[in-house]
Amino acid sequence: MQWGPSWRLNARDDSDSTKSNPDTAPPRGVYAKKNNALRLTALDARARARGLTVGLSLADARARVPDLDAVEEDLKADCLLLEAIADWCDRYTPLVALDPPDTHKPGRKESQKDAIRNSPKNGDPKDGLLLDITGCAHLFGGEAALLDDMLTRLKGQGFAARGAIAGTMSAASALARYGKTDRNRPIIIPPGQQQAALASLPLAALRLDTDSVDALAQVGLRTIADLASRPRAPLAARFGLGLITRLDAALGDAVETLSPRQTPPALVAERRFAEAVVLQDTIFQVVLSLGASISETLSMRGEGARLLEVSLFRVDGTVTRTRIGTGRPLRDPALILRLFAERLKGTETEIDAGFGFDLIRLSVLHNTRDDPRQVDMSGHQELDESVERLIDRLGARLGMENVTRYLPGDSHVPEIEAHLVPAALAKEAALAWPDLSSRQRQVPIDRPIRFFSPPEPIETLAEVPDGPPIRFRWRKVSYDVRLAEGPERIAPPWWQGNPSPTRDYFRVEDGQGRRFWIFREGLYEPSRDHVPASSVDEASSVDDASPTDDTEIHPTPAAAPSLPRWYMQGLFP
Amino acid sequence: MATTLSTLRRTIAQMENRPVEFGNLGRQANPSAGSDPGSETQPGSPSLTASQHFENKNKSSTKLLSPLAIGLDAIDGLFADHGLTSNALHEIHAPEARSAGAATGFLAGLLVRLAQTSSDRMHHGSFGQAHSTGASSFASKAFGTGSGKPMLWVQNPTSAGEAGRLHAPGLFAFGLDPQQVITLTARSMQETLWALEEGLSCQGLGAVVGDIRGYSKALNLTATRRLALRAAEARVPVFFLKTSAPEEASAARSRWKVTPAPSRPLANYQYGLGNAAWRLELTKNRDGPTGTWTLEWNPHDQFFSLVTLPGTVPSGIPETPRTLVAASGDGSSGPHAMGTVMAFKRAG
Repeated sequence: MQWGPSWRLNARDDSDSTKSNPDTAPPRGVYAKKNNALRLTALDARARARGLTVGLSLADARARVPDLDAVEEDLKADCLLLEAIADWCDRYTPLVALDPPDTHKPGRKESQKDAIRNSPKNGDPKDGLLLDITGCAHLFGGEAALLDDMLTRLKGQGFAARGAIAGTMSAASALARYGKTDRNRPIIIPPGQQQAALASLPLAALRLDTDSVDALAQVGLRTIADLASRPRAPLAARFGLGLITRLDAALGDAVETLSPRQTPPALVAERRFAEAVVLQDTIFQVVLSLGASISETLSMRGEGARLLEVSLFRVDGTVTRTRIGTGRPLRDPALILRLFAERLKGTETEIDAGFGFDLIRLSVLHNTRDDPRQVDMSGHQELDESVERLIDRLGARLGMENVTRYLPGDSHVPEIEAHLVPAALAKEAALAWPDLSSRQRQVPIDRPIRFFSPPEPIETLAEVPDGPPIRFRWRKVSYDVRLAEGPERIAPPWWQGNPSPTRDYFRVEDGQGRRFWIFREGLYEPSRDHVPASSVDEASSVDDASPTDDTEIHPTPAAAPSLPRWYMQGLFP
Repeated sequence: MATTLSTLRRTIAQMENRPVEFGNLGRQANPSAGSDPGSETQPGSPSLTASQHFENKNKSSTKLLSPLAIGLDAIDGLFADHGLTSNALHEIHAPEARSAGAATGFLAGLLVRLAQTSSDRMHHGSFGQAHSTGASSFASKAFGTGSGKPMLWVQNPTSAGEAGRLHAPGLFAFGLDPQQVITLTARSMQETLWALEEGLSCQGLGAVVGDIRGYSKALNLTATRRLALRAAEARVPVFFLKTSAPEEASAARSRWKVTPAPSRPLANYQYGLGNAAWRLELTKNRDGPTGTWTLEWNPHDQFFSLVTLPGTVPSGIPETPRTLVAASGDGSSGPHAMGTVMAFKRAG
């Protein structure tokens, strides 16, 4: 197995300075607040040539070099840039990781950011990339050619990068940072020769913290060779096991694992272009032909794709990724292209071609078995398939989560009597409602056809303790209840420790035939002294109140949570 | 003379296997008006004439397509096909958001009727009675358990908040199988229209519903015309369920205004609410006459019935004396800016 290359990059050596005349451009540096002082953390070659060093305070540096162009360190932006480059490195191998490796949980972006925020305390910020190029080098004409291609392209994008290929991750990382580079001879260390290659490197190359390096230097250990020749037990006792682990990892005696940023796809088809493509039609044509080659492999395996990704690698290093999910395993290249086009329309993103794309890739991220369906004489199979394809198309444009179906919930709580589930993911058998004909249908209809979730608070006049509402006001309009049915008491799932109050549902109809489903949350409890006195009195006087006079209704005080409150839950047909 | 002529025409139409035009109304058939008596179409416009031609061409194929009959002769008789045309656009209006339940109920009733019609067709199809049961059981196994095809229900973004979202247990209680319903929440009117059109291009669907709230510029005559033509081509009905919106010119074949009506007590259950009842106003009918009825839905046996309610407000007088202001979908109903906006120099 071979590891590498690892990159030392100075993120701010960007295209700005290369565009301007290198002789007249001012020296550049980066500063950050360290130990309550602004200190330089990175410098370009011109600044170093003028005698500045990393760690110098900014005030001193400005005094020595008045034209120093200093910018404040922005670790977050650095990390984003590094991730963008890591995305771009995807073109060489699917296994790309940030260097130094995450000590936190890998994968999620938050944790990476956390790692960055904490990194000044823990050690170095992430400034390199690790690529596992096992089995990939031959596609680029060998390791040296791959490394050269990568460095050339990165240089073209305006980055100053260094690289090395070695048998272990740590060795590659150390060599890329501290190894002697030569334009004509890239650092490529065959497996098993790490010891010789690393021997002369300083101990800092092992990613030890500065205290350990200083302590080791005090006892005369300065290079890796010094350390490797010492007996291990005293070293471990004095400097901790971490030192030994690092050393073993670099020399290949301990196993290191790389945790890639993205899961490697199951299938990949890609096309590289000597001349960058710009036109959308060309891109679509390429996606179509890539789909055809993927389709061939999938049908040989009897599989279909459920999640696809189209990656467009722009010449300047930007990578655009578009994911397409399907409800039904998919193989047809024309359908893949159609979903891709819908997705682009749905996200309202134009393909920003810039100077063009030099690599277009179609990868299958998730695939499942796709056995051919049995065809029956009635032709229903095609119809069902057309509906499933429709769901895919709608989902590609509007988002899979917005195309939904009703999953019957095993609950009496109205909100979860039915769940909305993505149509693409739902299993047909799970969606079956109890047979309509066998169900003892309740007459009249006991559930509303339009449902308000969350329910809307209403102001109600009702008989205590549990009478139906007499009048209520919803959306600033008052309604006189002509007919009422209830209560239908629906208690929360108390066995799950749900503390919410009981609901008493009423089906009510007003004088003009509007039918509502309203409920009272909580119970009137006689022990409380603030039983709404108005309710009983007003209930008797409601007959003589004029129907247009809204002021008779006393609003249920919203501020008192102990009182029962009334809500509008739905509209009946 | 007139009756002899119409009888003759009917006989010729039957011999030529054409749909009988207004035969069931006993009205004198007028060839020019009979082909397209829509009040909103302008015969002078060349694009409309072309599409009329298209529609007429399509009409000849509708003879295989059974109409969506409401099941009441008083209403069905007003249409040339003796029922709603199955491959056209129909609008169901609830002028207020609080009547959304009633409008949805009427539409659900129509959809149940549609499923019944299609299952009838399946039973009397070319397979014959003996084979058809097998065919329908295949269908039920493949997608949903009901007899009908699945339907697409597209909600525009504000509809769910204002008029409530579609509730599956309610549909189930009403008699419509929720398993057959694919719901979709679009982000804009353009997307709603796109999704409806996309739904019409799929031959597996039984019906397509656009659940739209408020007025929108995008929902103009051109857009509805386009959908209507698509529906004619796909032979699938499109329904617009419009709440809090004014009645606008559209290419709909029929437009129904639905308001709730007081329910009648049931025979065996005197004290509670009765069956769902609505006051139904057919405000537009491309085939001619319009009318007003009070309808009831029997959820147990799944049919509409006409009721005469004592004490209901006679038609023509609005129940609410207020002027209804339509909700605007694109903010165009907002107040105008006052005065002109001036740019001043920054002080100091």
